[in-house]
This record gives sequence, structure tokens and C-alpha cells, in this order.
Amino acid sequence: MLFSKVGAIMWILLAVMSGFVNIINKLINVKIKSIYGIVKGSILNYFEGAVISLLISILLTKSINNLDVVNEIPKGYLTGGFFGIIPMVMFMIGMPGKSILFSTTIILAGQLVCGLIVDFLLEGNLSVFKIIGIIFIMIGVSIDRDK
Amino acid sequence: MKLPKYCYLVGIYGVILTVLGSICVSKIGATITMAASILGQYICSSIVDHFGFFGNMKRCFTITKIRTYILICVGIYLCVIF
Repeated sequence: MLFSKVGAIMWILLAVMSGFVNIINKLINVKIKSIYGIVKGSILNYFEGAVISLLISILLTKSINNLDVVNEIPKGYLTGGFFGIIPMVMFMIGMPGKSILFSTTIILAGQLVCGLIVDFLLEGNLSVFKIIGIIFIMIGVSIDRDK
Repeated sequence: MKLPKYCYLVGIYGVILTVLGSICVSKIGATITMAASILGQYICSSIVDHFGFFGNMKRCFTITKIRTYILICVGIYLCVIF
């Protein structure tokens, strides 16, 4: 169904690319943690991210007045940063010394099931094929776990 | 020990990740985004493991890993066609 649209393939490729960025991001975080520690590493990460986001927003909107929109966003959405820092810190603590493949695969089940729940909440229907697809992915990942 | 210069780009990666994640979820749904992202993570992890980038220990890519890639691709295909 989605393959009828060339655009969908582009979005899938972009999602694959985000996986690449995700791993590089995590590896760099581990390196920063090993030199600066968890707190300084997190501060560097999020401070830089906030400054870059702000600069992009200003450049794209051409006006800083549009940042007033922050006041209109439901307050619950502003907790995103808090939920973002939890996996990062947990990853920094748990990852050193382990295989990257091992530490990556261990969080995949949660991500996939969460994706399924989000899709269910947004679209209102639960596709059996998606569940089978997830099972396939999990089988693929689990047979490759570090011995 | 001095931090390598590329480490200071860590914020940019975070921003790219957030932007790509939110756009892709709105366009193709959370499950496919996650599944495709897993494929990307897997490929990237294998490359890093094989070549020992970022000071990690080298773990050679074995031919048996290909079955994992096939299963992940089949899973993504099933998610995409519904």
C-alpha cells in the first residue's frame, strides 16, 4: 500500500538514516562520559542541542517573536526533554564494556512495542501484519545476540 | 585526556535525531519508523563493530549475521504492506 508512493520509500530511508545517527550519537555520548562524566556529558549534549534548535528556529522563522508559540504548547509536551534524558543516562551507565550490538538489541523490543501502541492510539486499528513483522524483527535480532 | 573535536558535534546529532524522528512518525507511522531505524542502527553497529571505530574493540562481521538482516527486512516489509 505504502509502496505505491515513492515518497514513502524516501521516508523509510530517512528513518534508516536516523538509526545511523542514533548509534553515532550514543557512541559519542559514551566517549564524552568517559572523559567528562555523566553530568557534564549530559549538560554538553543538551545545552548544545538547545542552542542549535534555537538557532534553527530563528533562521527558519526569521523572527524571534514566533517563539511565543512555546506558551501555547500544552505543558505536558514540554516534559519531552525529561523523558529524553532518562534513556541517555541509562545508556551511558550500561553501555561501556558491552558489545554495541548487544546493548542496541536489548532496547529494540521496547521501541517496537511502543511504536505499535503509538500507531494504535493514532490510527485506531491494530494490523496483524505489523505484529507479525515485529515478531520477525525480534526473531532476527534475538538470534544474533552475543553469545 | 582531551576530547576529540567531533565529540563537540553531539548536540547536532541529537537535533537531527529528534527532527527525523518526528517527521518520519508523522509520515509513515511509529512502527515503520522504529523498524527502519532498527535496520539503520543494526547496519551502523555492525560497521562500528567490524572496524572498531570510536576506540571500540573490533568484532568481525560474520556471514551468519545476514540472516538477521533478512529477517529485519522481511519484518519491515510486512509492516509496510500492512
